[in-house]
Parts: sequence; structure tokens; C-alpha cells
Amino acid sequence: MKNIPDNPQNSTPSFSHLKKQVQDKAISESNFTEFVVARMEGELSPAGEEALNRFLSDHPGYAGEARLLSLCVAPVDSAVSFPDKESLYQTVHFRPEESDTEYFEEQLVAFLEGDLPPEEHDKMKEHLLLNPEMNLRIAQYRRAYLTPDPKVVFPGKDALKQDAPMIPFQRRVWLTGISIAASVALLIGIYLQMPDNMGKREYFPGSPLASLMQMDPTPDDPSRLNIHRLEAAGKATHQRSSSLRELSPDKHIATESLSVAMIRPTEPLPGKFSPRPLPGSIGSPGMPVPGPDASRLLASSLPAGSSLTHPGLTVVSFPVEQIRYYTGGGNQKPGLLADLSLSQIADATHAHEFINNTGQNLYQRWEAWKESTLDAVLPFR
Amino acid sequence: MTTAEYNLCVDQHADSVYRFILKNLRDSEKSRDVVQEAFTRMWEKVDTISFEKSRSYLFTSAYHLMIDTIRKDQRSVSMYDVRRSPEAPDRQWTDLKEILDEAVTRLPETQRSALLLRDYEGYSYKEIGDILALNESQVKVYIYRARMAMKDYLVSADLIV
Repeated sequence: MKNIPDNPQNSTPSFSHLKKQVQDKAISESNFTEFVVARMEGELSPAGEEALNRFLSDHPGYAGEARLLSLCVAPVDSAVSFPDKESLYQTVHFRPEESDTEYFEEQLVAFLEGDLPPEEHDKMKEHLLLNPEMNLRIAQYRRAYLTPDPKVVFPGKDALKQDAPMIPFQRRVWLTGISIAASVALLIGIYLQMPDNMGKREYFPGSPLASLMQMDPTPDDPSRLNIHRLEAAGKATHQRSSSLRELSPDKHIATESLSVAMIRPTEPLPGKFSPRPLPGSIGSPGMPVPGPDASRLLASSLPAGSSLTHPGLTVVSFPVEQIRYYTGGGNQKPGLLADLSLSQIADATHAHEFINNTGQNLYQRWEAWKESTLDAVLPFR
Repeated sequence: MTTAEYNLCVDQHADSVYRFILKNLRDSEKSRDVVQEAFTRMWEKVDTISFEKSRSYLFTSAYHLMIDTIRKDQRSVSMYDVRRSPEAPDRQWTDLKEILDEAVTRLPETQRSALLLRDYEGYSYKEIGDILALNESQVKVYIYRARMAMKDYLVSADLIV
């Protein structure tokens, strides 16, 4: 049943005004009944009570009238009770005519939201059981509940992640100036040191990374790819970068990457190029692709750190973690054909044969090498 | 909050904050900017925000950024007027999700935000009030009105389908 809101105009009459009146005036023969009524309503102050008693004591003729007035209270006959009270409990909480009211709608929503007190919740439940037509309305509400679409995800979530503790803003502004100055000085220093120190790196003594870097090509070792020689011959360019990230006081991740751009050979690639399907590859491996297209790399597929200064046959990226050979062309997505080790490409002109003949084998070898060596370098990956 | 905890927040909350904002703005680029900025602000205060409070901080920050975006676009008034009450749909529907999507867009902004936080995130009235800067009673009223409006819209759509 709808609760009647608190409204002073509808509430039970109060005698508080009488109390004030009574207290404000002196008791007399003409108003002593007001004091009596106020006492009956419990509104008489102690001072008023004392005044009334004193008045009745001084005027015993009015004591009878006061006593009669006091008896004018309707007695409560507790013996009288409703004869069929149990039937009332069966009465539903909501009358049928109330079902179309906004109040009832609110109660329905409250029921679904779990906002009703236990007793009212049970009554609503009972009402719904007794009125099956209400189930439709409940169903309509339930259908209107929203559920998130799991297919909607934030694009580029990894870009939100951070590597290091935040530097307070003021310090950051100050440090930015220092950083710019340091960067300029560093660039000048690098320029002055070139070319003597190009390609040289220092690693932590005993670091697995140091042994890994033994793969670093040197001009004196003909068994390894000589990038400088290729560059001198106008067949390739390369770019190196390194970084050291501190994850915690005892954990660092060192990244050494070497990107090589090999220039298109003078002779076109023979015949068709059919890359082998490789585990973990992307794109459409296995599909015959015309040679020139197959050897075209889409610049957009280049991983960070790689460079493509000469659009040509291939671009091979040589970061420590990954060595990948990409290809693709036309409407095809760039495909990861193989992961290669640096020493296994001797000449850019043989790259396509190499991929065709040994790509699968190399991929497996790369996986084994990565497991045994790279995990030792980056145990916390 | 540590850096690792911050990154965990990205994993756990980026999608849900994005869904909440996207449902309101209906513009993926702007929604992305809002979420990006909310995370940036949290990162700037990473030392003062506990991991336990990070979720509500993100939603609060994103909500206020969203309101700023709406105001900047000078769309807030027209959006409110257009969406004051879901009206009877004027087209054929085939999918409940479509109907609900349309009904949500027609809700007033505050009702919509309160409803999304309730249904998507399961927030309490108190938590929603903290995010939207309302008291619990106001939140309750907004959600009740939104529920009734959504139901009415659904019923109207059913008549047409």
C-alpha cells in the first residue's frame, strides 16, 4: 500500500499550541478547563500542573467539573478484535487498480534492483505469483538491462602501460630542459666519435647478452655477414640501436637491435616464389606469389627499430629477441616467413633461395635457440 | 600504487572505461582520447592513488573528461533535449541489442551514465554517486527513471517489430 507522505497538515492534531497558550496565561475560573485538557493530553508543563493543582485546591467547587472532564476519554476495548484477520494476510500487497500507477512501477524497479526491504520484497513476490500477467512486465524490465559488449575493447592498450615510476610534473619540466641539452651534447659527441666507435658495444661482464653479441658481424670474419662490406658495395644499409630498461633493482632488459635493408639485386628473381607455411607465420604462406611482388616488403610491417632506406628486395630485422624475414606484395598482408640468424645470410642475392630451401628448418632452429639462449638472457619474460 | 599495479589497471579497466565512454560519446576517437587522458592523469598521481581506488578514480576522471568533451563540442544542450525521454522508435528493428543501444542513446546523459555504471560495472548507488557527484537518492531516482524509460521504449519497439 502506498505510504502516506509525512505532511504536517494531515498529521494528528497537536496540543502543543495549547501548551504554549496555557503556559502564557494565568489560570482562572474561565480557563482552568484548558489546563485540565492540556493535562489529559500530556501537554501541561510542570509549572502549569502546579498552577492547576493550586487553583483546584483554592476553588474546591471546580474540582468536580475537573474530575468529570478527566473522565471524558474513550476507553479502548481490547477485547474487541477483527474477526477474520487471517484473511487480510492473504490480501495482496498491491490492489489491482494500483498496478498501473507510477508508484507500482517504481516498486517493480525496486524489486528488481533489490532495494525493497525483505518484508516488502516477499509481498511483491507474492503479488507477482498471484498475478501472472505481471510476469510480462517483469520480463520487459529484465530485457531492458544492459550488458557490456566484450567485443568492444580499448585499441592499443599496451600503449597506456608505463615502464618506470612517474617523475613529478615540476621535476619533469625541469628535467626536460636538461634532457634536451644532454641530447644535443650526446649527438655532438657521437658525431665526433664516428666512425671509430660505430658498432662497438660494452656489456655487463659475464652477461648472457655479451655472449649473444658474439654474433655481431665483424669485417674480419668472413663466415658472418659483413654488413659494412655490403654497404661499401652499395648492397645494403643498416641501423643499430640499443636500450636498457630497468624493471626493478635486480631486473633489467637489454635490447640490441640491428636492422638491415638489403638492396634489390640487379637480376630479377626467377620464376614463382612459394613460401613454405611456417608455424606462427602470418599472411598467406604457401600461396604462390609472383617473384617481384613476393620480394616487396610493405614498409608498414616493419617492426620498431628497423629501417627501410632503400625500397628493394628484402628487409631483414635483427633484434636480439627476434630475427624475422618479411615478405608480401600486392593486396597480401606482409607475411612472416622465417626467423633467421645473422650468420645465415651471406648474400642478399641468395636470400630468396635461402628462404625457399631452408626457411622451415631455420624456424625450428630459431625456436630452439631462442628457448635455450634467450630465456637465459631474459628469464623474467 | 606501483608501476606494475598501474599496468595491471590498464589490463583490467581500460576496456570497461572505454566501453562506458564510447556508449556515451558514440565516437571512438574521442572516447579513446578520453580514456588515454584518464590513464595519463592516474599515472601522474600514481604515488598518491591506491590500487584499490584506481578503478573508481579512472571512471570518475573519465566521466569528467567526457563531460568536458561534450561541452567543448557544444552538444550537451542538444543531446539533453533530444534524449530527455526515449520516444517511440520510428524504424523497424530486428535485434534487441539494437533497440537497447538506441534506447540508451536517447536517455539524458546523467541517467545514461548512472545506468551504464550500474549495469556494466555493477556499482552501488553510493559508488555511482561518487563518480557522478550525486547523492545516493539522486542516483536511485535517475536509475529508476532510466529503467522505466528503457522498458517503455522496448515495449514501443515490440509493437512495431
